[in-house]
Amino acid sequence: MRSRQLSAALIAIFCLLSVSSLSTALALGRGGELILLPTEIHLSSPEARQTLITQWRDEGLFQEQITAGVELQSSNEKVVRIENGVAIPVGNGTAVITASYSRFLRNYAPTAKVTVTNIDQPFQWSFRNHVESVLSKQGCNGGACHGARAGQKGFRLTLFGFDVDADYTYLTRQAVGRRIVPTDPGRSLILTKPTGLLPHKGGVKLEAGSLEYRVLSEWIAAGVPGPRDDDPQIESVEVLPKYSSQGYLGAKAIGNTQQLIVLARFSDGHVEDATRWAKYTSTAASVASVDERGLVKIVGPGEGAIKVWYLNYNAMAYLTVPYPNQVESQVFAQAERRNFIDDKVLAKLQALGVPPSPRANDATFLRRAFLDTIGTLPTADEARAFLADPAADKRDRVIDHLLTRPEFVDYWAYKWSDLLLLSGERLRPKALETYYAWIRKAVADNKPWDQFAREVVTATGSTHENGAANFYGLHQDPEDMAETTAQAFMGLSIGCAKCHNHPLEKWTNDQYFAFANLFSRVRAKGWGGDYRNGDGLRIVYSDTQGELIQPSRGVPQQPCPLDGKPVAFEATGDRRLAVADWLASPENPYFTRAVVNRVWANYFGVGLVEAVDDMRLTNPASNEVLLAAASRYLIENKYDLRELMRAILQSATYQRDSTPLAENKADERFYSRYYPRRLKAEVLLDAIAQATAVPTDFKTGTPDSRKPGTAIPNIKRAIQLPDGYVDSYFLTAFGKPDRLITCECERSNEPSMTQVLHLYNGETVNKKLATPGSAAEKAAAETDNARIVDDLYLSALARLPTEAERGPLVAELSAAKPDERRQAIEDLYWSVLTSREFLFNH
Amino acid sequence: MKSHICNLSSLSVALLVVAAQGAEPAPDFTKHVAPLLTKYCNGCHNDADREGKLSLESYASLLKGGEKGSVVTPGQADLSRLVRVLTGDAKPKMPPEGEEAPKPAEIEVLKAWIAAGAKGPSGASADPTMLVVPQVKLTAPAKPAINAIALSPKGDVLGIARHGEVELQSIPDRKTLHKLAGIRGSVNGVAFSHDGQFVVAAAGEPGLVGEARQFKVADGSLVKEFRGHKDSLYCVRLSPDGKTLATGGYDNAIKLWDVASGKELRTLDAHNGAVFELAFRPDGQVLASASGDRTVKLWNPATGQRLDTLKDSVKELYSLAFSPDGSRLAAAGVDNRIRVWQITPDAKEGTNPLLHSIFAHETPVLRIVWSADGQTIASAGEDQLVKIWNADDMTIRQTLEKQSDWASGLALSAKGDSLVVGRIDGSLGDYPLAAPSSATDKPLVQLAEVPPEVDYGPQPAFDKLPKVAETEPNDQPAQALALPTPGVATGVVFGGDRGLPFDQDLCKFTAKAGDQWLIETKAARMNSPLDTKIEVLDSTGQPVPRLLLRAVRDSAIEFRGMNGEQRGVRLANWEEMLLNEYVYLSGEVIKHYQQRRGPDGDANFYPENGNRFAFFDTTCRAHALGEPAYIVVPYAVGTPLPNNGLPVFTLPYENDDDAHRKLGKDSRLTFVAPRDGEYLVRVSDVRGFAGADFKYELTIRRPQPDFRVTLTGANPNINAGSGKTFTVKAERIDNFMGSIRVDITGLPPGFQATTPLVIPAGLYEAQGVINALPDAPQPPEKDQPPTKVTATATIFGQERTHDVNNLGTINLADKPKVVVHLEPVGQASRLPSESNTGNTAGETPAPRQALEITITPGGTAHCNLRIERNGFEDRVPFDIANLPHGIIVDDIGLSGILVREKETERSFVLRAEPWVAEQSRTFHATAQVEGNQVSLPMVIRVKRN
Repeated sequence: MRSRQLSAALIAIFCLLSVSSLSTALALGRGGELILLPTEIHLSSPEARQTLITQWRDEGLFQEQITAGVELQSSNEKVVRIENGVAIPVGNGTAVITASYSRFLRNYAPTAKVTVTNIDQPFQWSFRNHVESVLSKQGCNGGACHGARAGQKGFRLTLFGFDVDADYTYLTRQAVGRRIVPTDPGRSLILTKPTGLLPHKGGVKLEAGSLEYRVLSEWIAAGVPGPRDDDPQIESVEVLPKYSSQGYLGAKAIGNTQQLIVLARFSDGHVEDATRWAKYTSTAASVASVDERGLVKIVGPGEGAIKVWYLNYNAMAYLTVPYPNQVESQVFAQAERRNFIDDKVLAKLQALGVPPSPRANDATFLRRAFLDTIGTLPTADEARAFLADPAADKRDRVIDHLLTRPEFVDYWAYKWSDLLLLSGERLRPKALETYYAWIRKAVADNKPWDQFAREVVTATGSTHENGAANFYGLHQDPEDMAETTAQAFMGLSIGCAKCHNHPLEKWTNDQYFAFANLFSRVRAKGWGGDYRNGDGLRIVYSDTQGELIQPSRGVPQQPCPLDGKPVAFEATGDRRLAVADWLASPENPYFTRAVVNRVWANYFGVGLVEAVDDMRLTNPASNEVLLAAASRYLIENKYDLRELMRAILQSATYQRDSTPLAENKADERFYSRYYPRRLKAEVLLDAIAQATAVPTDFKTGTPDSRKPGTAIPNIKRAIQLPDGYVDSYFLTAFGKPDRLITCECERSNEPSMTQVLHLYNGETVNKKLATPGSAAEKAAAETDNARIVDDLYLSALARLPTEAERGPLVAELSAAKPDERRQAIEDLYWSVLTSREFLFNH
Repeated sequence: MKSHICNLSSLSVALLVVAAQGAEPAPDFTKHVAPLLTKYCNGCHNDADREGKLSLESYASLLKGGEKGSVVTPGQADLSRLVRVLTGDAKPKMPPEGEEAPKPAEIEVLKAWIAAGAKGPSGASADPTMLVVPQVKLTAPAKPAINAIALSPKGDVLGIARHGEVELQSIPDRKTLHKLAGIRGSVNGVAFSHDGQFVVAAAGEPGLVGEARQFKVADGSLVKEFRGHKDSLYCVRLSPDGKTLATGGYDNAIKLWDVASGKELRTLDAHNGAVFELAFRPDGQVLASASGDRTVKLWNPATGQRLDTLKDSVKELYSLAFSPDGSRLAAAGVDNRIRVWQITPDAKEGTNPLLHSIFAHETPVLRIVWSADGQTIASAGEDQLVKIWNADDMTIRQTLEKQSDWASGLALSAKGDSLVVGRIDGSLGDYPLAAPSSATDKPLVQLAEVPPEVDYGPQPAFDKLPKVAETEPNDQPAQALALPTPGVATGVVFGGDRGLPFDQDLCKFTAKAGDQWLIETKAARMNSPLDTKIEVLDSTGQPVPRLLLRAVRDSAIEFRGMNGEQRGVRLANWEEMLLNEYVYLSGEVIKHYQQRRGPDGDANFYPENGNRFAFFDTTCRAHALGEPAYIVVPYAVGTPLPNNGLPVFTLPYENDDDAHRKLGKDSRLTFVAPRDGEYLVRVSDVRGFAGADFKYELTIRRPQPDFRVTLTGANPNINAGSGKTFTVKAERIDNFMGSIRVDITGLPPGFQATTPLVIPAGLYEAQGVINALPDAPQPPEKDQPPTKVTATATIFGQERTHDVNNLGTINLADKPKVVVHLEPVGQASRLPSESNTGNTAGETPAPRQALEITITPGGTAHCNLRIERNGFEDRVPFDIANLPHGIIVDDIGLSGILVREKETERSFVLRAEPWVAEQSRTFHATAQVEGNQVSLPMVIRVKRN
């Protein structure tokens, strides 16, 4: 929401300033104000502290941090004093802190109100909130240290402190309390080892005399008070400034720093400054780096994000860093806009100072839309007709046409078969056939995506009759069912939370088992066990009893969708209905975002969230406003994916040229241009087959490829294959996924030497060209050499050759002796079919 | 600048290498180190000024450190504060800004000196066990936790281990006799000598030193100190003869000491984790240790030889105890279980089997003790519970009140009639214990697998039963269709005509307490798409519970999942499972028929062949890899079951698919009415489907127990002087579980067969042998007088006999290329006392008598296989068949029983499970070659000693 405001505001600013140049704007002084953060401060114990920062704000949006020339002053030093930019309580009462600053002959004096309480009350460090914070911050409970499953040298902590009671027991009691000396706290192993007084394999992790040392030693000296049920519990983590646009109006931002403030809110209402003990990670290292105290350093342009972790809670701070371009606002104002997608993309581009590339030509558009929508090249005739069509709406008509093509069903059934793991390595033939037929029909019927997901998740009955029930043939235990449901339909990888709280997400171990328990009553009769044998006939149904035990607690969690409402233990209805209801409910932001992102990534090569299977909270979209808008659009269109695709295809954003401008060359995430990418393995193989007019024969896969597979009848195009378990050197070399785990990462788009060698010298292209009846053979019978070249260009590249291309090629063909003519034509085909222009969608 | 740094670091490496190799002597304190300290540090850190409470004026004052503790960590230059403040790794950086700082090469000298042990002017190291730490003021009094307690053998003195001291209290008046103070660190273990004269304490400072002390009980005087461990000690024991002291500590070591001289005898260092408990076997020949490395190890204390490693625990072990007769050892720890092993006199590896593995606490077990009379074990867990166990069978006798804190110390009186508990919060508790004979919990009675046979007299034929058709709506109890019993209801599961997405049909019937009714559906068998599920509900529509299944051990499916049919599956912790135990798998109950033969084999479940059966009318389902499984014991509804930390499942009267698979997808269950009253039967589709063609018939009838037996292996072709097998299979009808005797008569002259052949109670088949004597005449090919085969069993106290298909036409073939002889080894061959072979055809030829072998339950018997080779030279693999259930061919390896090429003999061992009942039975060996020639049957007699 905030970043949308940001973009809107920036547009407004640019409109106002459109006549004056940027430098004039700066010289005239800038608008806006200085803000002292946090604006309200409660220091509720003698040990409470608050880091203060002063931030420039304009039009309600935070800009850069201002440090030089700012003076902080307390209105009452008997209440609060300031030391090195930190507010320290002195006595109970209220006071005001003022930051004084002058700039461009103007004075600024933002204030923050401070309330100090409990200064006269006895203070005790809390195990749950302070000791655990220190253990996490100093790295004691990290996965490589005592947070490892087996601990280190017999001393074990839970990973990042997710189980406070277990940590307390281990720290204070296990091995007869060897780590604590109650009578002489400084002699405790948890102090002598990390300070280096005793050998410590982990090195020196704690300085005697530091605040962290004080927390641990004073806690021991107070008699190791344990975690209590009535301890204040953390409820949220806030980071300030959450959004900031660094580098105002193209001012130099790279090299600047930004101190973040982290506020932790607790169940009793008190707030603590967690800046010192929070842990920081930059999710875009090319934009910003961050140190262990939350000081961000801007290193490059783009959208930066800092993940902040404190006491198992995550929060994000976003920083927009414009590219160092001087782009006039008219560029954005005048850029072509077709629908909401263009508005959101251009707003982001403007905020970043990245100009969009111009519109792609007709031929490029046609080939691109065919390949992205139906995974199929336009034929020479189709290309010729489109190029010759003078109508203004011809692109829209092609889009409408593509969305109804039979190949659309092939292509998207293939895509969802990737997602749902249709592989003969895991499913028996009849089951696989039923599953594929179900998916195919769903695509052909344009089944709304929420309905599609519902039918999969609640699938019941025979796997030979209800194809969707095979989801529960592939995923046989509740944990796998839950994890795959989250991954396939929400892009969330919740597997980490199976053993401990998710370190990068808000999902806890408890939530994981509450969610997985929704699947604990899925039962099956018949086929199971060994994947390789049997008929695959499994009757899936829901039992009326049964629970999944959470290993760390020994009892089941009350079943509950990740963010939803719990289901009563006693309820005997199918718990999966609760999953299905929650999946597509308005309370669940993940479901719609995930499929929008998957469709988006199909058309743009780069997901709004990257990777598409990693939709976690701490992995922000490159354009959150756009993702939210596209999600709303899909909901408004009742989960009709074709309508989302139509909007994407029609957008000016999709129809932009892929040739970068000097100013947008570095952009790989904000859609200032179309990003060229190699055709997917299956699409490429089909494209070669179509261009050579030689269909492909396929064979089934075999375990370990020991025996040759059997021929697959009636299927000549890779995107029509129902079964991902295929023996094809070409498809394997070009990264076809194995369909064993639900992850787009199974598919590889990486180039390799194998691919190059296979294209140049391997069997696929050369063999097809030499096959009787191939396009090359037909071309050899054609006497008009220009026609040969034109047809090849149209069928492979959807365009006519330029004069510079056609001339030499025609000459080459004409010069060939009759007995070399076929070879010359094959060479011509070979050189086009191995060219980058052919191999890439662009 | 950068290259400068590089040079420096390579220099430091060089120096360290030199120091480590000892090629060049380490820097000397007086010559090299003291001048640097004087030059750069002593200005502020001297005896007079002591900035930061630190003086570096002398070696002694340097060792004392400052307010932040020691400044050198000997051997660890990078951890030492002295170095770290100089390099800027620690704040404040020293010397202060503006002062002259030591040059990098000079810092390297300090580092090298520390790395070499930070030796003083005399060349000797400082006492490595002394450590100076920052002083932290206590803001609350430190609680005097009790770490361990011990009771003197006479029961008159209690030793209480705390931080820094052992207190001796008199029993019963609880006066402090002595405080044995001044012990370094926490006292973690305390023990008395067998004569009660001495008490020993295990203590030390973590990370620094371990020490054990021996005191005289009478006057509290210190006798000896035993030092040598590098970390604090957790356990200490005196050998029964009082001559050897054993100590174990966090340094993973066990040390044995000569008490008289105080000298270390040897170190036992095979553990990879802290040694938390030690125990001498009362004869002193074996020392047992429990460790954080999850193992118990057994040692010969005289030689230091490791005798065995018991690896059954899956997590750290904290405690262990020997039974007073030394025959058993119990250990417990983090995996919540108490395990008991049988320990053989020589305790050699592989001879110490696991007897019990009991889920004892829902949390780690902290301590277990065994009473001197052997009858009682007490355990304490982190759940703040103390439990008392009958040591013989590890059943729970008593659970004490919830403790105010962890019970870190337990001391049982010799008779096991009272217990002292010491707790971490410093408190002590005294508890009288119930005697084993008057256990507080009544012995739990296991529920029978099937209800008792009841003779309900002649019953009408199925087609004579009254039939009623359902009338919708009947979804609510009040609308239920009244069904006469016995009787049949017909209906359709379809609510579509009433706008319902799915449907359920209810019938009601009346039953008296104990009434047995068989309830079954017919739907799939008449091509209805309905997959019926039936449930018995009470009159309000609530499920009627059938029984409780109490989990006693947990497990999980390993290696691969399980389909709805297969008998074989691999379960984790399989070593702890016994035959005939029930396993609960997500609502399905199966029964263990055959043990896994090793980690790479499946365990098999009932019945003996074919697809697996479910029990208690549960339904066979598919199960996923990793699915939890529980060994369960059935109990009647309402049985009070003490919480053992594992789940108790309540099974309702419910069936989806017939548990014995006779009805396909149709349902059947046996209902025993718990009380007089009206009951409902609900029929629905298990998938929740419904439709206009979802028809069914529901029958309620009396059980009519009966059986049928079928023989396979008829029309045998039998080689002269050899034999062939035949099999009789029982179909058990309406819960009939008794034994079935199969008699064979009318064999042609010269032939004999195993008769009677018994299908034991609860089992489903038996295999017999038909033999031809070497000189048997060829039976006529045509018009051969038929053999007669009958099956007889007792039902309702009456013998009932059914005909079985006969052996058909018997043909005599030539002498085979392999003749098999099965013979006992090491037992005098005796003639059987009862006839197990029969011949009915008069005098000639004389029948051959079967050999006999005896085995005791839990014991072994050796047999020999001998073959005559008549032209067959290849290897001969064998199958041993028809052994009593629970007797297996032991340790046959991967290739089974095999007589190799050129050999003619092979011996093998039979092993009987301890529970196998006394009986005699014939078994035989079948060669898997040359037409499967079979030996003569041999009698195996199971007899208790």
